[in-house]
Amino acid sequence: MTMISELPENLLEEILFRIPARSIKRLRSTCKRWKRLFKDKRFTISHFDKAPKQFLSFMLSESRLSLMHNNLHRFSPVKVTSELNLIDSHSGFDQIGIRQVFQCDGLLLCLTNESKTRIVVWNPCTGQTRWINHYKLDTTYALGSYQDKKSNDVSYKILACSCRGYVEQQEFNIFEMNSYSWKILDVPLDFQLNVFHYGVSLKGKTYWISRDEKEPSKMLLVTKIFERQSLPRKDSSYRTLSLSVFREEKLSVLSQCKVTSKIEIWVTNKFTETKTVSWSKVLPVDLDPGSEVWPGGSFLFDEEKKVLVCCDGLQYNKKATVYIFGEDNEVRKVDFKVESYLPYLFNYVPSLIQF
Amino acid sequence: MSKSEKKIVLKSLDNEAFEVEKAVALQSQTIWVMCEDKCVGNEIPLENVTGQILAKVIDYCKKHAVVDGDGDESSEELKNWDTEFTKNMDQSTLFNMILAANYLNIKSLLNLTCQAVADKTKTIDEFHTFLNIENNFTPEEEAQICQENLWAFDD
Repeated sequence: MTMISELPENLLEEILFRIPARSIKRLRSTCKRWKRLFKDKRFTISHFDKAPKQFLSFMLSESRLSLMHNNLHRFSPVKVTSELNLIDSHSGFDQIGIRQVFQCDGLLLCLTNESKTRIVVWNPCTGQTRWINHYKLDTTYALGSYQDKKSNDVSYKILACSCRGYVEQQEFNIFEMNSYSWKILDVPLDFQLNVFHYGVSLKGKTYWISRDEKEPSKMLLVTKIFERQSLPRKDSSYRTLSLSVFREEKLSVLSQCKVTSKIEIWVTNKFTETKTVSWSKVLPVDLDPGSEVWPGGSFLFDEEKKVLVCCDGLQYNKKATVYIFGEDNEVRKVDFKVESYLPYLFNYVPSLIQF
Repeated sequence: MSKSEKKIVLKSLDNEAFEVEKAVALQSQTIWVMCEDKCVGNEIPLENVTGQILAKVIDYCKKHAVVDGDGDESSEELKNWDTEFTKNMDQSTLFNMILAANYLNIKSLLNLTCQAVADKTKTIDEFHTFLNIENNFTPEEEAQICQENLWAFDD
């Protein structure tokens, strides 16, 4: 009888590349060979590239991270379940409260309530954590990946942007996960990052909305260098508020009209190396008069199911709203209770990535 | 081309001989290279594949040689045929098919059989029983890994 242990490494990997991360994560506790494989960075990165992806939605609310399940046919289309617990075996806290989170390739970069001097990178799927000393007030952090074209090695970096209000006072530091050290990043910028806005990560690059937001508005991209990227050309009465990522392949932008509260959602084409980014408008949404989406607030948009989840920040009534678009763009609106008045919603793809 | 040139004989590890159409056998890159490089005549020895597995590989190649290149309807039919083909194979046969597909270098068959193993291992419980993995951790190591797994989320 032939056993799986008789398959050579490359054929074993061929099988594992066809199973999603969450289904095989526990395999590493089956035998030493598999545990070794799951610690192999090259394997985990190839697995992330090739394996079928599961697209999940997370919510950070009242320092807790939880999974959101969508079922559009139910009366309450969004159910918030199963909390994720970040545990630090060295700190004696049962559970660590998370203040801010940034996701990239299935990894979460978290600012915690427990520590003012440390940040943590966490893979909730494998449980791996690495704590990093660094914290300054008014700092926004982002996690990005960089693939060396020659060796195909992927390395993770953290970008810290400290800002005290003026362009000249922006200060950038980069942390390399491989060398475990901070470096000052000396780049002249003619625009200002809006540190109160959440950035998003797509294919290793980080996108933020810049503060100047002139027409045509720009967005910028951070790897080791900064570049400007066009935002959709829009009516001047609209403000660009927020960015989101759909299925790890498209960016979407939410903008709102200052006069009518109407929301517009724009999405890009799929990000590939060959194509340039172009935008198309997918949805106009009417909010209740006077409602306003918090600038930089988060939203989730599912282009296939035509569902928008966003929080109406100024009502202070601890709710988020799901907008479901039927045929003829008919909108069904369902509120659901949340613990804080401004929860952070983001898309997440589990991975086995080691860092 | 004479009738004999269109046929080829594949000989398994356990000396079973299969006469097949050349077009069927040449889906294997390995056999294709053997036919090009060596003047092995009409008989090709396949030292890594047993007769039982080779018979299944040939079934697959026959089906795919006939249908390839036809319209959409037949590609749907082919998909169903593929599903049926791997559906009742036990794990040992599937692993042997993977090894054979790899050795014979038949990409589509390798893809199909790897996917079949992956599909049969959707849940963790099935994974253990299906893959028949031997746990070789010490109790201390296992306790530590269980601890690590507590951090991970489940639903």
